[in-house]
Amino acid sequence: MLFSLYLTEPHLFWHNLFSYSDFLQSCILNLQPTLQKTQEMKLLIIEDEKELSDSIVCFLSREDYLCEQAFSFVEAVSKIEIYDYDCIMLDLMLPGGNGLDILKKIKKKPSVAGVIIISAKDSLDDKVDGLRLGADDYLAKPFHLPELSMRIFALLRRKNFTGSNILKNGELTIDLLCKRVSTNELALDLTKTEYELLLFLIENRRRVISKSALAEHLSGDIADMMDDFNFVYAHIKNLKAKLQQAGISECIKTYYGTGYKWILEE
Amino acid sequence: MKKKSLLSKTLSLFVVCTTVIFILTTPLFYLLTKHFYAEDMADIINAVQQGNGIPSLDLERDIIMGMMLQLLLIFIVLCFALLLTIRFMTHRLWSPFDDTLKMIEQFNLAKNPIPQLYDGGIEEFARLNDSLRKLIQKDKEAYRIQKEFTENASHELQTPLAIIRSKLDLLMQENADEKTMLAIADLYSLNIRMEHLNRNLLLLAKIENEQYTEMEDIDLNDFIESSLPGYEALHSGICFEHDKKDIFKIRANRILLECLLNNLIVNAIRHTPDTDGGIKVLSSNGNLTVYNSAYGDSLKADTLFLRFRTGDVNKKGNGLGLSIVKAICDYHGWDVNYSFEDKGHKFSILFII
Repeated sequence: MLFSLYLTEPHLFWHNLFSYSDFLQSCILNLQPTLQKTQEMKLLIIEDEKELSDSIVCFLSREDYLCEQAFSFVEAVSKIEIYDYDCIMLDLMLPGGNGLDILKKIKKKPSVAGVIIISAKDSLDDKVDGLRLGADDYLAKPFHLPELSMRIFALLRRKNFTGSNILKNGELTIDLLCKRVSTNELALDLTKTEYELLLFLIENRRRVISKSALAEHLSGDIADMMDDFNFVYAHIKNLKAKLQQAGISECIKTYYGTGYKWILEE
Repeated sequence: MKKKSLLSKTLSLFVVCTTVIFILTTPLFYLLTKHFYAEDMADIINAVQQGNGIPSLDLERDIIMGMMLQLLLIFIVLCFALLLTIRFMTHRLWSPFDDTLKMIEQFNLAKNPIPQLYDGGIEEFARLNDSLRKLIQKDKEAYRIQKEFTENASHELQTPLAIIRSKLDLLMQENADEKTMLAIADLYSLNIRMEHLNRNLLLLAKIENEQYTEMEDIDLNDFIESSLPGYEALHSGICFEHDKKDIFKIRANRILLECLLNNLIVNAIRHTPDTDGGIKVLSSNGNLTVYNSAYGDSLKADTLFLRFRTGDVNKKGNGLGLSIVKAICDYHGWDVNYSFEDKGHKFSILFII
């Protein structure tokens, strides 16, 4: 059958052949982790800018994610048709087609893949169209990688892959539904900003997060109008003090006033 | 149709007008000649034919009188013709010019299509309209290119900016020494500045291209109330005063209104010396006022809203914030004013409802 395809439409033949090799490769990849870990999230990054796609993969692979990349419309469609993913990051402007058509294809499948649209087109129409077609989240380019990581985490949690709505880290327990933080049954009184900050830091643990990423997470678009992000420092200071009071010290490491990292062991 | 020049048209109109008036006044001339000028002649001829003597007449006086009257009539008729040509004919003749002038005065390069100009069959006007049409066409083309350039350039810049940002996020993870980390922090802030500039230029281009067409009725007080927490993360103690009973509905585009508010308030936060308080937002009687205490003196009100004019020597911001405020206000037909009161800057927007 393949041979007849080669005679009639050689480009499709090669494309199919590549798909098969991809398939084999991913089978092997799929087999490996099942031996080590039971749950590993499979992500697909559909993004035509190779540099950006590589950065995302590099950043996310520090977690227990298995990342795959697609750089064009055709490639993305063929991958979606063959494999199942837990989360798909989708750029809307792709060589060979519109990302929204891919979104329709994903939604036709019985799988429960979550979709985050990442797009440079920051027009509202795209956002509305995307969310209407069933995308779960929308992130306008340029974004901070910790922000993307946070969104993926939240999405996977919403899709109930990780099961519970309670996030535990050391002595800290965070109830994600009620937005309550407690240590050893003792509730912490945090402001909304401090809560967001804590969650962002914990979900990006083991990573250094820049002050600007924190600022953007806390105040969205308004943040980049500010010239300095000293307000982040003030909130971090307050959060640290409150955690210290609750008996948790040495949890946030500061890197020369430019970046922060959550260092509390689980 | 062959076009006539303005001069020949005026002359021919004058000739026609005079001829018509002369024809119309012919009975008058006849009467005048019969009863004044030729009256005595007729008397003499009558007398001679009947064999009577020549009647004693002051012929000289009568003839001079008659001639004078005739001259006066001709003069009046000519004057009348001239007046008529100037008053009505010229007015009709120049009306295409008047129309063109009106159209050009009302013409808006951004909004209107090339106007249909009428030349009234006059060569000079046809030439004028032709050159105007060419000029407008060129202007429109230049305007379109400029608009597209801003928008395309911003779009194209977004990708490299996104890549730089992601690379910086990655670089942050390498356990670098202090010097490197501080350099990375500098690069971050530069990246953000460029990103902000880029986004603002895109926004201005989009406002000029009128891409924000969706309008809705928004209660301004509610709107401000709901965005306050975001501002309070940046600066504590922003004071918002309004009459709680007052429902203050305005018709606006939600994205632009948010942007307007962000720009005004962040501008205030940026330029107040106080770390706590010092910023007042007031809404009453169709007015929104944002006040902040200031370091120095009044700003130059005439250049304040122009692009890339920063009043501050510290060079904070990119100089686009207030021009965006102005552009959004113009877009909605609101009025924005600046004044310096109580050692502070005061921006007020008058919503015309």
